[in-house]
Amino acid sequence: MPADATPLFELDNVHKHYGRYHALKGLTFSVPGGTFGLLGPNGAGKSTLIKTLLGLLPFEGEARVFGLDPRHNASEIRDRVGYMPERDNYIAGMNAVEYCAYAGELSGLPPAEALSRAHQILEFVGLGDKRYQKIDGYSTGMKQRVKLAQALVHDPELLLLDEPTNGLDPAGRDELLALIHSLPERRGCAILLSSHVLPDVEYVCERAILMHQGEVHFAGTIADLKQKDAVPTLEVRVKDGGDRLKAALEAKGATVTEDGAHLLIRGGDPELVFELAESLKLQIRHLAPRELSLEAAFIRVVEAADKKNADGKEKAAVEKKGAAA
Amino acid sequence: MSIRDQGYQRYTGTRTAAAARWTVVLRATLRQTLRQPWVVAILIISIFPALIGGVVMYFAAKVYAQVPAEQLAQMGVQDPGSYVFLFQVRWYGTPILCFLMAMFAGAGTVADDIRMNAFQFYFARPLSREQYYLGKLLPAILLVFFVAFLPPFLLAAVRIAIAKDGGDVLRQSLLVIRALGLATLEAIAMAVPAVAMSSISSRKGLVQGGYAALFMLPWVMGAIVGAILRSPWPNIAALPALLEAVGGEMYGYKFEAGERVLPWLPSLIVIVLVCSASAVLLRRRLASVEVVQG
Repeated sequence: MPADATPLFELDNVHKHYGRYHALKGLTFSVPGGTFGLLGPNGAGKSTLIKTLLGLLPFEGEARVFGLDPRHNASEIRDRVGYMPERDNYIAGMNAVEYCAYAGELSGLPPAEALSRAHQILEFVGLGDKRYQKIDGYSTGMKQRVKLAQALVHDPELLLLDEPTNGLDPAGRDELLALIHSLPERRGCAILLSSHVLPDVEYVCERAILMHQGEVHFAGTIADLKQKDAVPTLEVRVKDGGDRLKAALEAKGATVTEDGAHLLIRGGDPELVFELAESLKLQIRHLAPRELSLEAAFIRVVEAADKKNADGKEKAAVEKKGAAA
Repeated sequence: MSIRDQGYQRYTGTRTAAAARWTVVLRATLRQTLRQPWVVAILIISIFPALIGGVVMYFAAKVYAQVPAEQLAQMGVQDPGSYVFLFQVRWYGTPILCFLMAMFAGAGTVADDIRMNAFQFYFARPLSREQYYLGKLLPAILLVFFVAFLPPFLLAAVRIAIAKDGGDVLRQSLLVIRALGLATLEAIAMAVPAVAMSSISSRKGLVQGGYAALFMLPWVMGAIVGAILRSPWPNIAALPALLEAVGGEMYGYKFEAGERVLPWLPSLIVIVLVCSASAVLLRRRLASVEVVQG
């Protein structure tokens, strides 16, 4: 991002309370643009964050979307954002062209422009020949595509996608993901993808924001997230006698787990593996560093956050007890 | 992947004012409503009361023209212009058509959006709840207004056409204003509760049935109990009876002695209360709608 460019959105100490429930706990981060995955378990605060960015909720702290304040410029922001919700949402009795043109007009396009762009966008998402068919009769894959089309028709600068591959078969999922992946280049829009399907996020996004219990625990590139707190792990497979190798490695102090036919050695030294295999007369069939996965990184970060919270609570309880004594 | 967007260009034109987006909802809702065969049928049928009334009024005017005005007054015969009121509200042809129009055009409009989960579609865009109400209410009000106003307007035009002299033309022109006022009240009184009820359930048929019950039951029960008690008050929840009372006052219609007609002011208060309660219900139902579901 050039130094003078406006970030897509910036948050500075943003809090949101629902009564006594603290949904967003002082979020501070900035997103320059590009493709972002919004990750987190259920109840992490992802939906609240999206609502905050769209100006749908009051909040404390400072936030800027396209340099605008969501509290005072919600209309302008929503004109520049396309939102594809997780659940199906249609207008009864409308065909795809009418639906997308309606979406375009509601987002501020003049009627003729909205209609023209509705035709274009339906062609773009691969529904050109089905555009006059009522949406009620569409298949799940077609419904997902028309949802994407209505989010894109008004030419948004930021596209918010909520579980876009929900309910799709593998082929349909791959096609839709390829389409989404091509959007920044072909349509010039940034993408914020909220999904529990981590491979989808990994495929589409360059960066990720990981939320848990109302806090951001990571904001950066997906490659950095995978590396975060990761211990290098060796993956070994021997012809026979894997249990003997495991016992020998453990005797040398290594932490070994089994994953099917493979042994996973945390922080393992390949020299040590070769040495032990030779002494035990074992034939090594496979030896490679374990590829870091987004799923493992996700679990690590969430578990670390849970542990930190539990420790914090325990410490507070001890202090309270001490004070009472 | 094939290249499908060779002609793509970013939109650089101006966007329409966010405050005027309710007109988009209004146009789309009107278009969707006019696709219903029953709505079109009611619009066509609504002309018939005016045609019948026009013929009756024409002959009545011809007959009454032969009789001196003092004699007519002694006989208690009212000016043929009173047919405008009678056709608009008294003989129930038009109120029933208005009720049917409100049921078909209004009682399904929000229910369809609940069923199709369309609120996310609307409110993730720069459209406020108030703009949505306006865009959904006005088409129903306009269509009911059309049915409520067209027959009396045509009758008023016939009455003006057969006026005796210039003074009579001016006097009878007031009929148009009265018809306009009563039609507006009738349209709001019928359409607002219908649209509000449609926000209760996602099942259009259930909402339409409920609206029909709410309209018909107090009317039928009021008529029966009123006849037994010889009192107009059991009709206090019956919309046609309320409109009759307020309309009679607006037109200056002289009800015959012994007719069980409600006083106009309590009738108007009940209409206002029903419409206000409906508006509050609609507002509360939509206030809790989640745009982004977590």
